[in-house]
Formats: sequence, C-alpha cells, structure tokens
Amino acid sequence: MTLIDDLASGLPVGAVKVDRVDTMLYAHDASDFVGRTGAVCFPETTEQVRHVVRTCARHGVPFVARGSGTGLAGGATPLDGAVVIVLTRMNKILEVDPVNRLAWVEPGVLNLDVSRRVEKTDNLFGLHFAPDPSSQQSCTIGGNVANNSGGPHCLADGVTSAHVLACEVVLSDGSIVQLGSEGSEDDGLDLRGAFVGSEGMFGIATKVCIRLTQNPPNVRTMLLDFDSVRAGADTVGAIIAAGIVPAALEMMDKLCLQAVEAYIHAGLPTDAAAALLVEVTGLPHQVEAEAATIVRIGREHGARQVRVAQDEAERALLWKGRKTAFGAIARIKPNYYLHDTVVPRRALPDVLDRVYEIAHRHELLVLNVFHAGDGNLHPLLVFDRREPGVLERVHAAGEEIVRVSVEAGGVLSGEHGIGLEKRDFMPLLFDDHDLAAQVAVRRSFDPLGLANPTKVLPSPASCGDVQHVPDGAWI
Amino acid sequence: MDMSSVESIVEAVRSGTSVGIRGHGSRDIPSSDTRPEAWVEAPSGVVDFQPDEMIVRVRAGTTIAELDSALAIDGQFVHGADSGRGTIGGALACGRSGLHRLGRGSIRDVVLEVRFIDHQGKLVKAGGPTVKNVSGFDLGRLFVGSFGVLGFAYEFVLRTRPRPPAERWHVAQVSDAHEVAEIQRSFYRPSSILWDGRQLHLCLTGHPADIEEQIARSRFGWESVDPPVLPEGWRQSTIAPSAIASFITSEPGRAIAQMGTGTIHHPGPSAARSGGPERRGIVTRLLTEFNPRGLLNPHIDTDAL
Repeated sequence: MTLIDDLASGLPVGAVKVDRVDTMLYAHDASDFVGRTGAVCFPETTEQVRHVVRTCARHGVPFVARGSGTGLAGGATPLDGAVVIVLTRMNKILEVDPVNRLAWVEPGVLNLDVSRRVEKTDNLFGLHFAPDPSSQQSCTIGGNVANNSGGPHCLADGVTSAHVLACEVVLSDGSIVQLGSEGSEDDGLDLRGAFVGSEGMFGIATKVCIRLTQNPPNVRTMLLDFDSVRAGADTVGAIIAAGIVPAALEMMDKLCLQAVEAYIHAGLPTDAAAALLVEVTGLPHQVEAEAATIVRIGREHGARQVRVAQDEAERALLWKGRKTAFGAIARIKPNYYLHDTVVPRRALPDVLDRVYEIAHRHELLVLNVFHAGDGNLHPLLVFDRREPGVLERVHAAGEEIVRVSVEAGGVLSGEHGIGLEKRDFMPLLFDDHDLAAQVAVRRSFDPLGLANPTKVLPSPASCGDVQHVPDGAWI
Repeated sequence: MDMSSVESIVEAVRSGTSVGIRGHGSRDIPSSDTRPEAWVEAPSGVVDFQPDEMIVRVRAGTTIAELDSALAIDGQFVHGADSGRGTIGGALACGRSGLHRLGRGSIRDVVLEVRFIDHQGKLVKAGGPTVKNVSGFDLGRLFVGSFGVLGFAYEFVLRTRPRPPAERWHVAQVSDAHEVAEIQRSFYRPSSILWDGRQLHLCLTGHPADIEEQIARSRFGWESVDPPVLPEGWRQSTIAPSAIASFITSEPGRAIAQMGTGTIHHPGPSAARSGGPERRGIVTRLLTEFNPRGLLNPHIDTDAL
C-alpha cells in the first residue's frame, strides 16, 4: 500500500490531503521558511495520531506536528516531503478542576479559548492560563507546549513549562505514554519537563494537563516615558532590584511609539526615546505599594511623565498600543522580520545601541518593542520585499543581532524557539559536548529520529558554518 | 573559578571505577545495594549573585545556609532551597519543592543553566544565564530530581526571587472536605495549604494588610501560628490532587496533604512510581545514553526513576 492509502485507511474520510493547495498551505509556519510536504493529515483522536505516526514509521517517513502554524522559527516547516499532522481538530477542553486549578485539554485548543472558558469558573477570582504569547488568539496549547511559549505576563508567572503538569504523548514508534501527572512531582526523571519546549522532536502531545492561575483582583497599569533608552532600561533594573516583580514590564522605543500612535491614537508620547509599560497585579495594598514605588523609581531615573490608567478602558488602550505594534508597522513598510533574543537586563542599553547601528548600516528600519523585564529583545526589521537585495540585508542584520546578543552574555531565543531559523547558530552558545548531550536526550525520546527531524540541532556538517536556508527549504 | 574540585571529579570519573557524588547525606534517596568504589564531593561557593538580574551562579556543593544568607543581603531567595539542611546540589538532585509549591511553583523551575561532568569526564553545559531561554532542549529540568545518575552537576545558574514583605501562617480546625475546597477557592494565591483531616494550616504571603484582610473576611476562626514542621522521618508521595480529600478523610491524621498540589507526607514507604513500560523505555534509553556502564552514582536505585 502507498503511504497515502495507508494513512487514509485509519483516518476519517477527507482527513488526508495531498492536493496542491493544502500541501502548499502546510509547507510553512509563520516564518519565511517554506518546505515541502507529501501529505497533510487531520486526526481527531489520539488513536488516529498513533495511526499516522505508526504509518510514518512503517514507511520510514518523518512527520511534523503542528497547531495553528503561528511559529516564527520554522519549527513546523516540513522538509523533504515529511507528513504534516495538523492537530487543530483536537480542540476540546476535556476537564476543568477549579478547586485544584488544573485542566485537561487537547492540543488544538486555542490559548485564549482556555482562559475565556475558565474565566468565570467556580473560583472566587476566576482563572486563566498564564502564558500569553502575542499570538494567543490563534496559537494552540500544543504549540505552546512545543515551544515553551512565553508572553508579557510570564515575567512574574513563568513560561509554559511552569504551567504544564502532564502530557499524553504519542512517541515516534506509535506508543502512547503519559509524562508527568496531575500531582506533577512524582519521584523520578522529569520527562514532562524535558518534553516541554522540545519543538515537536520528542513526540506529539495529544492531551495536556495545564495549571490554571487565579485572576488578579486588582490591576494597575502605568506608562512611563524617558528621554533615553538607557534611562528606561536602568529603571527596569531598579524596579527588580527594589524587590518588585511586576506582572509585566514592556518597553517600546521611539519609532515604535510613533508608528503605534499614528495607528491607534492612544495619546502615546511620540517625542520620547522610550516608554515602559508596567503592570502590577494582586491584592489592593500590595498593588498600591508597588505602584507607588515604581512611580518613585521612574522619577528618580528621569521619567518625564507617568501615566496611570484610570480605568479598564484606558488600560486596554495602553495594552492595545503594545499589542498592535505589528499591525502599526504595516503603515511604514509591507514586510517585517521579527527577531527574538535574550540579554542580561543590564546589557539592554548597549545591545539596543548596537541593534540601531546594525540596522542603520544595512539601511533598514528597526523598531523595538519587547519584554524588558526579562531582557527579551524583539527587534522588528521593517522592509519592502520588492526592493532588490533587501532580504539579504535583512538576514545579514539579523545574524549580527543574534551574534551581538550572545556576545553580551545572552542567548539565541527567549520564546520563539530554534526551529530552522537559529539551528545553525546553536554552536555560538554550545560546544560539541553540549550539543551531543542534546542529541542524546532527543534520541532517548525518539530513537527512530522521525519526529520533526532537522530542527534545533545543527547537522555536524554545518556546525559553526552559519547558513540561512537549510537544505530542502526556501525563503 | 577554582577547578581543582571539578578536576578531581573528572579524574575520578575517567579512572573507570564507579563513583558516587555526595553532599551532606541529609535527604531521603532511593538506594540500591551497590556502593561506589570512590566518593567525590561537588565544589562549593556562590560564584556570582546579580540581584537586579534575579540570578545567582552557584556551585553544587554550596550549603543552603550559605546560599540563603548570600541572597538575603538583597532580600532575595531561591525557591525550594531557602531553608533546611544540606547543599543546593542535593536539593536539586532530589527535586523536592517543599511546603510552598502551591504558591511558588516547582523547584525544577528555578534552574536556568546546569553544568555537569558526563560519564566520560567531559564538561557539559545546558541552558543559559538569562531568566528566559528556549535555546535547545531543557536538560536543566531533567537534572532536577535525577539523583545524579545522568551526570554530576557541579554548577547552576538559578532564578532568584524577592522575599515577600510578609509571610504568615494561620491554623483552623477543618474536618470537612467541602470546607477545604471553599478555602482553596476563596483565598488569593496562597503559598501553602496543609491539611491532615482535622487541622488546616494556611500560609499567605504579600503585603501584611492584605493578609489581615483576607483572614478577617474568612469564616474559619483562624489563629496565627509559627510555621509548621513535618514529623521526623515522614516520606513524601504524589497522588492526583482530586483524590486527596477522600484519602485524608478516610483516616484523619494519617497523612498531611499539600492541598492543590497532590503532594502528601506520611509515615509509610513512598508510593511506587507510576507510568507504564513506554515511560520506562525512555528512562532506560536516557540511562544508556548518559550513564551507559552505570558507574555514576551506582548507589541510586534507578528502578525508582
């Protein structure tokens, strides 16, 4: 039997697609990396996922699991005809326990749908799922698990791994295993912890037990603006050093403020060099005390204005400014490339200076809007793809930004993952022994090497030799 | 960094004999019948503490007391390693989060970078020194609770946290599981809820006035108390959080449960580890990759992993 017939034999009618439109549609995620898929499958149950995986194993064909495809690092781009397993039809919230604050969900459930569903549950404060990537309206829980996703509110509450108690996983040989448990602190190796963030290379999560977090009863959102990026960055360090971990601590630079203001008219300070969006949450006295301290620290560091949101509408407007940056830049140029590196907070001003210099040298516009609290930079290179030679400049600038971040004591990625995009940068951070250990963990989960191969781990031939487009992909 | 101690571990591992690594021996470990031919100890010392980055680089053999007092100067702490005996390496190797897991999360979430000596005596690093990082697979979490069988961790970068302005324990007489559920639902992010079927200990952290208001609003007749201490020699097991109420009420006083987490403390032996042959397959392959001849920490019963 051919691979396609074999796949179809265990799936609902129409759940295997091989036509040109579908194979093109699922040949990439939200990155620029485009690969090639031989077939796209839409399983609806764990048993059907197992069937697809077993079929792939029998035919020796690799598979790539994906949710909504919002990833920015090419992690869900299939190479060389891999079978794409789309999990968006597995989208049920199976169980919610408001007392113990946990839920079992299928991997295709959208991130924000979980929070909406548990918002008014039987808990005095209401509940939510803490990780809130900016794609939360469209990204799936399965994708969050694969990428160990973050978001602005992960500063205080932690990234996805801190909110996943257990996963039911289909391994590449078709066996089904539960990693972790509702109690989540069993004796023995934390296989759940290793699985989260494995970018689809250890197996496919078909059920996820997530931790739910109580909604804060009080929220104070503030916008502080500064004459220099350095003053803003120093304020960030001083807030943390004062013993406050705000729920969110975001920074926008001048170009970003101007672009966003032109787009949403929120009264943002367009003449400032940088603005900090700070949010403190919790019980009333703590929120009051922390907000007062933050205002004082801001003023000590030269904040020109401190705007405190007076009501929920104003709070929503300030956040809209942060969250619509990507829409706003479309008014400047039609295309952008979003980077994601992390540097120590104290290195932020110097690294930002370098980012501006790199962009200027490559004749590109750069906007910065990022998670300043955890040093997670997101330089947005803005360009027009139709301009001859511009993509080469965008990629050259991107590579320099990654190198500068690592040289400053930082890391390759804070939340987008390695995927294809940064696979060949891994040797900047890890030597051969370090990478061999990563390979060994991967082999332990997937001895067949069929689960999303060729991602994250540089192939021996390309170690240290940075190349932008892996074999089998095009941009 | 003084590498002498790391070098001596490397030398011991390369000699081809079985080697055990030990801290203070203050924790309960799953023991096998085998004893290592040689013992080593991890290097100690706080290498670099950056309060404004909320990170600390610390060697595995550092005592928790020393780490805690270094961080306390700036009002910070490492969750899961802020009190008690032993070394930070031991605390991470055993992977117990302590009584505050409900509010502070798991001890495995504090590891940002791990450096270890592998079975060939090579130095290996995973993770990195930033508070957020998805560069590569999460070996740090795999090392927490691994009892040193995947390699000998000698240095960590850990996430620190500011100490809350206040931390208060209260106790009330509560024997009805529905009332316990009411407490779980009605307090805001409590740090700990301990229940033995008769008494319930509640720990709240944050601004003192918020704590007082929450207690005053609650109908349970709370009394302020010192932090509770678990009975000497009790063991820890994990069950489903939803199964705890019936477990506790079936014989009040036989165990203390950390409500909302699934952790129970009891005098009997630890519950057998759950998970079928598929999970075992992954563990066996990890051991084959990272400890192929079983020479690292042979005194640990790997069947318990």
